[in-house]
Amino acid sequence: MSRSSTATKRRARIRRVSRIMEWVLLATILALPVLLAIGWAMVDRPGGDGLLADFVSREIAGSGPLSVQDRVLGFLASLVPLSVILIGLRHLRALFSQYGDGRIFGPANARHFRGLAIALLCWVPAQFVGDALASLAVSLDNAPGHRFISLGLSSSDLALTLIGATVLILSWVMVEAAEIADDNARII
Amino acid sequence: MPITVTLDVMLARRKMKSRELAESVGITEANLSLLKSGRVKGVRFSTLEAICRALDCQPGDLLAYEPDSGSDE
Repeated sequence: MSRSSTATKRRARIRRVSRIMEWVLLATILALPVLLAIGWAMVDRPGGDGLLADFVSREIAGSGPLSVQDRVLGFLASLVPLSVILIGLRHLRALFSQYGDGRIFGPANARHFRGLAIALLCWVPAQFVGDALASLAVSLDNAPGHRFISLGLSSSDLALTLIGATVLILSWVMVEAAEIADDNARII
Repeated sequence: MPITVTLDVMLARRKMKSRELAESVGITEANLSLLKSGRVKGVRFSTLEAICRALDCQPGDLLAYEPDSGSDE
């Protein structure tokens, strides 16, 4: 098999899989806010078995059921990290859209890589703030002295930061790659 | 740029059309047009070889060096 036909097959595979990823990411972007809203609507009671039950633990909220106000405030607090995730997914989808169109290296690709990296790096602080606000929201109805703010960082947050930093460096590499690709395109 | 492409001169000498040369070399007419106008960063040896074969000429027949008027130091 010749080198050019192998390269053609490789590029066709990139385009095909990227198109699939583009649709998967679109579905994810549309589904996430809906699933989050359903999650908050389905939280039956603190410490129950519903969605987000782990988060709305008995220690944080009182023993009574969550009010509509608690759920709405909790949902709004959860939108903080979710919006960062959605921005990151939007950049990722745009990146796959470029690949799907056959543009493997280009300035737009580098820009979307950078956007994804920034979203990954912002995810951890957004999650930190979102969790704190959500814990406050669900314990708001508690008696004074029993309201809580939950603050926490985990090893997965460190991993996420490392991945974000890596993708940021990759975005710089992509700028170099775009310049090389542009030079190459101007060599006949 | 001091290097100019004299491909159009060679095409005229051989009485060959750009389209024929593009087909023979295996590049698009648009790229051949860019090459003729000198708006490229470089020419691959494989392209040069194919053009020389099609036009029965030497690489030197296709390129010329003309120093810039301001760079004669």
